[in-house]
Amino acid sequence: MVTTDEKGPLTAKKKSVIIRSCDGDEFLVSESAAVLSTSLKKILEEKEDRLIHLSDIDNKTLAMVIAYLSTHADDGLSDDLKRSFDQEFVSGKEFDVLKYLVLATDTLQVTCLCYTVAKKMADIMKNKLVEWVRREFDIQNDYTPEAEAEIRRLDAWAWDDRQLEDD
Amino acid sequence: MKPNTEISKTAGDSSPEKSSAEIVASFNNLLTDIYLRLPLKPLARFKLVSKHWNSLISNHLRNLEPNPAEGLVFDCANFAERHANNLPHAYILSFNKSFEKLTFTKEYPGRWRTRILHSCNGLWVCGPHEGLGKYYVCNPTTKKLSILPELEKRCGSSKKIHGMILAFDPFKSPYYKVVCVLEFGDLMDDQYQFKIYSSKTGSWSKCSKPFTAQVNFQDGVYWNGSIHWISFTETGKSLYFNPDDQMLKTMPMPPIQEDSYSRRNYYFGESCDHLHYIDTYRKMLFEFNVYEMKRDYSEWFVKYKGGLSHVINNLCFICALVRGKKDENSFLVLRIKGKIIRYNLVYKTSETIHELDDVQRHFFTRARFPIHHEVPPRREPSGILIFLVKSVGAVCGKVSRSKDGDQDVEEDE
Repeated sequence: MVTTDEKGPLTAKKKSVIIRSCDGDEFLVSESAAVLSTSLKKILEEKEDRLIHLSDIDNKTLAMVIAYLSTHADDGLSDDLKRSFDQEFVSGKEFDVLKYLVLATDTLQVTCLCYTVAKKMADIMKNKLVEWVRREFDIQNDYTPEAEAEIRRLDAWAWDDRQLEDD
Repeated sequence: MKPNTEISKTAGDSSPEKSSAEIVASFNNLLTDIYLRLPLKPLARFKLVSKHWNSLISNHLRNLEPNPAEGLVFDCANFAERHANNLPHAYILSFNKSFEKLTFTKEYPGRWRTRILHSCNGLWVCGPHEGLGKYYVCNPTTKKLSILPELEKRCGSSKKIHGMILAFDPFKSPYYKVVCVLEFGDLMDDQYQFKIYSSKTGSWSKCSKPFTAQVNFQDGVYWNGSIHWISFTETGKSLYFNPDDQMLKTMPMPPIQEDSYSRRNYYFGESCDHLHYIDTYRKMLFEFNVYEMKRDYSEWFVKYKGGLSHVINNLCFICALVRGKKDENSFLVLRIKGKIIRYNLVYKTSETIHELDDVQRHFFTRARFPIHHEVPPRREPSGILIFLVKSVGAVCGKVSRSKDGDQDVEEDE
């Protein structure tokens, strides 16, 4: 439990937590940043653990999430700066990286990052071919050619002649 | 060291390598977050990815809720004054307190004489203030527009247009209809005909059979698949018309105030798929009932009771009733003197959202349409308004809004 002083609970800014990725590396994170993750916050409220192991999240992804949390925990930054940080944060990232990021935000329950990443993924996906989506999400086509034609017919308006991308 | 706490989706399995099947499985919860941010057109295409995606996407589309309005459009009641003084066509009041001029730019045909005639779920039908001119449907979010074909002049001699009303429900169909109300004949009073434009066929229907009515057709309200009009006379019938099956029916009404002979002052509108009626006969609104219509048209029931006596004793106009997804987020937008006030219908609290200057005061005599900027891109322009895109080919930047309220301006491809 976080110590309570005259300023009230959860003001222990200086405290930090160690978070270990599935690769075994450890990251030192300030508690004010960690509690932006709902999952981490719950653990810190319930237990005195200062070492939390994340068996689903690799080094690279965890480092990105922590950079995000630390920026958003920084009271010195304006909301505008945080918003532009969010834009920078996802811009230019590979779809594969975003996939792992969005999964990590789900595990750690960081809602605002989840929305930002999901938006970026949607932006990348919107001009892509169905085959591209199948590849990226590792999905087998389980339609017969007849069923496929029927689906296309039902939503014919969505299939105009616009160029769609496959890479 | 105390025992570690472990967070994992796959409890007991701490191997760092996850199979792609596991990743896909954990993705199912997250796909909705992505679907929510995809425009409707790619979303419809992605039904083809797999049967599973098809069922997820279909389910997602079924469960979409109507979004609360984001603001109101106020147009100028005095056209001559607007023209003479080069005033904007309208003002857009956002409930986040911004207040912006709206001026139709060169893409809009006949822009000086143009007014917004009706609005429905994110689309507007615009046309000439009076007399002849082009009518068109536009999407103010994307600025895409589609000019309606000319009305044929054959059925009936007089062709005075009494109303152009949009019927568009993006949850039911990507196509919209425009119902045009025409005067029937020269000599008969109160006789009208409908003509219906369908964006699916791109053409006007033949004229309907003539009918009698005592309503102001321009004030039609689209809800529950039909357009509704309130009669302004004591004996006249309030009507609703379904442009799909073309049935015109009578709608029951709450009783008129005992010492009034007509329905002159009322608020009638739709918000978040609810139809509302408020009698504002006294205009002071010391106390009032907000009625809501049951979906089967069996009765108007009292949804909210309000009272403004503790706030202010001036004449008061209701600009709009805006329902929130939760009851406590529902509010009235009122105009009291030079102020636009937001009145919470549950907590009965008021706050001023805008103070009008001298020019802006010309603009607020009539309650105007809600704007649905928030009609998210998924069930809107890129997919829905395919006819607009095709017929005009004009593509502008669009404003999209994600669920968490972030706003991005992005260039359309």
